[in-house]
Amino acid sequence: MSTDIRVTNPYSGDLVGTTANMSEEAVECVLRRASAASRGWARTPTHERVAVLRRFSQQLEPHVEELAQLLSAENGKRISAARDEIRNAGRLFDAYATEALRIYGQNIPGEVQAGFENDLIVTTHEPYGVAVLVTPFNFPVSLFTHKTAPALATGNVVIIKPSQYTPLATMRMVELLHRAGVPEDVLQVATGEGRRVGEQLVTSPLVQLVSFTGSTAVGVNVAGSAAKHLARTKLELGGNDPLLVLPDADLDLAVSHAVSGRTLENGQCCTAAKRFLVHSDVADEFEGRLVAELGKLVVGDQLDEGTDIGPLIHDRAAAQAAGQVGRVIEQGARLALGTGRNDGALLAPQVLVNVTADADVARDDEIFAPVWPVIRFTDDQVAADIANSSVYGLHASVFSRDTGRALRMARELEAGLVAINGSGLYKPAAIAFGGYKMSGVGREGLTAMAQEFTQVKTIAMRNILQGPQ
Amino acid sequence: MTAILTDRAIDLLIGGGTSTGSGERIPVLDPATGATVATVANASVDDGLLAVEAAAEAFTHWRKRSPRDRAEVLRRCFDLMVERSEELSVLIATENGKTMSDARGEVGYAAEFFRWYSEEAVRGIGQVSLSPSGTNRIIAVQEPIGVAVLVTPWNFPAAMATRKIAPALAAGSTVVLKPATETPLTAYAIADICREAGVPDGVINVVTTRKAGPVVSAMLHDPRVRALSFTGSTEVGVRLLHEAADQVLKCSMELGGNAPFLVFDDADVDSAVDGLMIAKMRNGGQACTAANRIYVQRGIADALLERLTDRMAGLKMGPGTEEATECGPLVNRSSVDKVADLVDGAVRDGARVLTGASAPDGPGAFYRPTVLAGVSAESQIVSEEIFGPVAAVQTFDCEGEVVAAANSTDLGLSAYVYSGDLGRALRVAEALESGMVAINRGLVSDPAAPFGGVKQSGLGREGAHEGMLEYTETKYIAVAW
Repeated sequence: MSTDIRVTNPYSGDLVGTTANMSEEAVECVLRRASAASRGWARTPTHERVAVLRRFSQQLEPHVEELAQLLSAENGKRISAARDEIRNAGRLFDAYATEALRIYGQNIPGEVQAGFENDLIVTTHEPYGVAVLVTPFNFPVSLFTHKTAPALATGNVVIIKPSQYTPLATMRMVELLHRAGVPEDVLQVATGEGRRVGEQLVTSPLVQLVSFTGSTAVGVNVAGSAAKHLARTKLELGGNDPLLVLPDADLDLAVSHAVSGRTLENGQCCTAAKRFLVHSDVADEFEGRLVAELGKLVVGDQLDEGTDIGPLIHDRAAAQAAGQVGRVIEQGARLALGTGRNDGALLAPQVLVNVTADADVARDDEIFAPVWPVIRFTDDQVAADIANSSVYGLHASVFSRDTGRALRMARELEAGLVAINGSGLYKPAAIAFGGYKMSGVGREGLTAMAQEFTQVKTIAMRNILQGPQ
Repeated sequence: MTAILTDRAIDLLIGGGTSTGSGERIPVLDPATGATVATVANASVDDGLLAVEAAAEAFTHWRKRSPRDRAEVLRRCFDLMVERSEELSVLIATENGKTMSDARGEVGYAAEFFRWYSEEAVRGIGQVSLSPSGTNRIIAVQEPIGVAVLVTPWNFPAAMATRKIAPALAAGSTVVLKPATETPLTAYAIADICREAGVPDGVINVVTTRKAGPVVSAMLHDPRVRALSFTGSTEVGVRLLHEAADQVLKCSMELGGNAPFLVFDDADVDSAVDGLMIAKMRNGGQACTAANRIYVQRGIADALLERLTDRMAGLKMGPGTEEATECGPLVNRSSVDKVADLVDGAVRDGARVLTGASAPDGPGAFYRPTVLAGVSAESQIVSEEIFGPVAAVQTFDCEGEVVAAANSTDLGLSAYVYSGDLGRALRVAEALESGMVAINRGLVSDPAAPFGGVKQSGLGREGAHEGMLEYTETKYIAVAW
């Protein structure tokens, strides 16, 4: 019934590869194989699972260039960024594996409650079983790693469903993991149209855990579908992250982070700075310097080493972003840089000034492209209120030379992470990464691994401490 | 092979350079033959203080290296130690006398501390909380404590050193190691491996000395020293605690044990004997965790004693470096005399000798594997650490009685319980006054577990995450925002 899906380079339109558009029967087969493998993998000692993942990590280096070429071609990101993403994934597999050795149970004191004095109560962490992991196009390898490595290390069996636009680097990573010793049924790839294949996976009664990264609109649907069998659902969704520049900020620093925090992945990051709230006293200077810096960037072919900004994921994405820019202008803003028009999948940097607090972009209209809407404010509390007026609450950042003032602002902001004097495009592996409000449910990262990928079992040994006299 | 393993005259390691110290040499003997295999330098009080100075200087840099960086250095220490395990094992067997299989086991165990703490180095995670009054935040961070003096014994020359060095370095602290004069070669070899792995000069300093009392005392009174970690006897530990008190040093003490080994009627006799052979005979009985008081319930006492006697009588004695050896010499002749005195006293008090109970003729510090039955609870062998290949067995009738007997000591390091009823074993484990309890196992040591004693067996814990906290200070910052 289904034909293969073509994966193309968003800059050139060239064919990079194809993947199967899996039929319902094929997906069902993947689910059954995963389910059958789950007990054996859960019972494999942690140190053995860890040894396999570390071996993969150690064997990755010779494959970095090949994977980076594939990733850059299918996604459109710059080749140097693709290399960094692959190398970092190798380190992350090692880090998650190591962290899995540190998941401990507890000894709960029964004696704090009458009637339980002689019970010995201990807890253990056990895997959920079959985990369906759904990744988006923007960081296919990085997000694959942040989900797959902790899932496998803690003993879950994985079905990875990559974006239909960027499945190739992920599939190659899976092959290499199999070669390092991960059993084939323990880690499988399901490819095909997201809506149909994804829906079948998350509604299956054989699945106990769903971890999804993508848009809020799709995430809400995933949560609804997964609720059918109450699969545990972890969601990393959209953001419309504010970057706040207070009047005492170091403007050089703020401008440089306003640029770098928005250009990574050509602006297609959930944690990119997307709303720029700048105090009126420094707004003219901020806008001037921002326009000057952005004017220096080279827009073009991502496989060219000199490129700063490559194409968006496809032509439709660029056209959509251009349309969103047009709407901001209709709502009273003015373009200080850019034309408001896309060229195929390319969109050059766009700076919007005079954006008002009631414009859609100042609240919930997330633009996944290199666009800088600047909103002015004169009072810190008002700035916090504007920042919090969004349904989203992923990351945020504050620039100020007064650490106390910045910390007070951090307390006000409804966000999963607040960066001070740096952009919110910030993701050390150790943090618990995740959003407030409609930006998600759950956390990812090394310190969140046990909480997210294992369930606690309590074992109570009744009256065991009461001996024969 | 590193040079130090074949070098027969080894000098002090201070700040990356070597020093001949006082000029006088300390001979290192092979206890199986009494022959001198090497000499080490003899440090004076001034040498000890120079080592402290080198460690203090290195601390200013080492503390600033990123935790990830320190982790990677420690990981290389692990890799190199594994690579050199055979040479190290020969060295340990030569100077300590333990069998090659015990020596190999020790090197593997010792290396694991480097791996474990390479992983822990990045986990010095603090906390932030809101004060209950709501007026301010409470920030707690871990900082390295500074220079630590490490004093290690001869029974596990590699493991006792790495168990202290690895967590200290992971935390960002620096060390002066004073190994026992009986077994200094292993300590110098490990320091050499660490240097090759990238540990900077001065981070690890090693001083050997005949004047341990004055040299250690001077170091403990040097204001640049902030911590002491000692493994050895309770008697020496108490003296060092007094010394350390003058400067209010943070002390981690792993002292003597008098481990009870409890076997209940419902235990599997074969596995109990297997466990007992490990708990009793690892390192020829010269371990602080060694089974010292063996309590067997009356119903299986005969069966257990028969099998235990067969196993002990069948052990092949010889130099540790010979592969076939199952029981090596003790560390020196005076140890043999002490063990013989304890056995003779027990026999006078009415114990029956089932095998052994004598030292063979000829050279070397040997004592025959011995089993004593019907040992009196009043005998000195019950109240003192035997530190030799002697199984002193008593019988008991009920659980309450044996728990009371096991707890009737000022020491409380490790204990062993064998029972087919895991519920009973867990209940007894909770009732025993002991820092560690092994259930249906003859071994407790594990780098991932907190090792240490209660009562007069010590202060603090080594291994696990707790082990690194011994080399850190917690700083609390109160701040309102």
